[in-house]
Formats: sequence, structure tokens, C-alpha cells
Amino acid sequence: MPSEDFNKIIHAPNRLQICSLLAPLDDAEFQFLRDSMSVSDSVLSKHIKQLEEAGYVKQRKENLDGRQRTWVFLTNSGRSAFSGHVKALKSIVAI
Amino acid sequence: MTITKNDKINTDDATKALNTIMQMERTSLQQSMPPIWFGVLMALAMGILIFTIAAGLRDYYVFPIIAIPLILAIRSKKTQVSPKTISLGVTGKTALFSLIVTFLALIAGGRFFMEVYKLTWSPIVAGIIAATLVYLLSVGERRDHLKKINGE
Repeated sequence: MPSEDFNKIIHAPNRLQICSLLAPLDDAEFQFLRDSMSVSDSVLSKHIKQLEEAGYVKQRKENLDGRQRTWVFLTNSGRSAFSGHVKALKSIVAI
Repeated sequence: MTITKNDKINTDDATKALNTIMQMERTSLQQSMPPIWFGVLMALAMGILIFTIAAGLRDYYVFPIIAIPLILAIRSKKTQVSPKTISLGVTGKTALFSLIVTFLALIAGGRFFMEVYKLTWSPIVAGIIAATLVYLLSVGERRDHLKKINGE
């Protein structure tokens, strides 16, 4: 069960959006994340890299129709950290 | 503005963050909702599969068998997301088992009535029942998604 921990890495607006978009899914394409967040490729890449370094997300590449597609997904520790962060936010609001 | 127990953010920030989370989760759920065309195509493919097996049309089994993974791949490509897979509980396993048994019964029934009573239309009926079942399942999945999106 995830602990109720406020997570500074996840809380940054763009990273919070990435985790929120990935939470109800198994994985999502890079392009979907970029379009949903209305950010540039480089901004999204930077934030995904930071989450990846924390061990919260992973990427996998796939070749389709000669194009490389990147899929991003939350790891178990990422899911747990995100869930704990949401609990912490809810408890702050409840104070 | 309330300073929280960890002195990092206040309630306004936390509320904003929670709203963002809800909004983004809704976007993902909307994106992963099975489209109507997906339910229709899967129903058609399953109906044709049950019909061809029940009618003993061995040369034609291959078409729906190829079509099903193709439809799944097209859906994944179009939606750009993979819906979360849930581990099946006892109810889920029972439902899946019942569905497989129903399909097998439809095949056996269609074949039996065709061979014993010479009712050549019985495999067609079996196919139509299978297609209807699959379509209703896809409608149910869409409804579940809509409930989650609306926060019910």
C-alpha cells in the first residue's frame, strides 16, 4: 500500500501531468502526452528523463511503418509514489 | 492560506494539483475508451468466426483469425494509448469462462442443428448471437469508461 508522501519530483506541474495521464493506462505514446499537455517535444523529453532518473517511468521504442514510436509507462514504484502523492494532496486539502 | 503539515504547499496549490490530476486522468480515460467502430468490427469478426466454424467452412476460419489481432493493432495505433489491464478476480474469471463456454455451445449448437435437422441457417444464427454478445460487451465497456470519466 502506497504511503501518504508528498513527492517533490512528481509535484512539478509538467511531471504531475505526465503521471496523471499515465496513471489510468498501461502505457501511452509520446505524441499523446505531448498533445495532451500542449508542450514541445524537448520539454516533455526533459521531464520524462527526470521521472526516469527517479525510477518512476520507463520508455520503450517501437518501429512501425518505418517510424519510431516511443511509448512511456509508469513503473510500479512510480505508481506507488504517484498514489502516495495524491493521498498527501488530499490530506492537505482536508486540513 | 493554510500552511500544511510539511510546509511545502498550501491548500490552494493542493486543490489546483488535484484538479489537474482529475482533468488529465479524464483525458486518458477518454482516449482509452473503446471506439464504436472497434466494438462493431470485433463483433463482426467474432460472429464470422463462430459462423465459419459452426458451418464447417474450414478454408475461411483464417480470415477472422487474422482480422482480430489486426483490429486490435489498428485500435492501439489510432488511440496512442493502451488501456490499463486489470488482473481478473473470481468474478472476471467466471465471466470469461462462461463466455468461452457460450461460444463453444454456439458452435456445437449451430453444427448440431445443421447436421441433424438440416437447418442450414443455424450457423448463421450462432454467428449473429456471438456478434451480438461481443457488441454488447463493448457497449458495456464504453459505459464503464463513461462512468469513470464522469466520476460516478
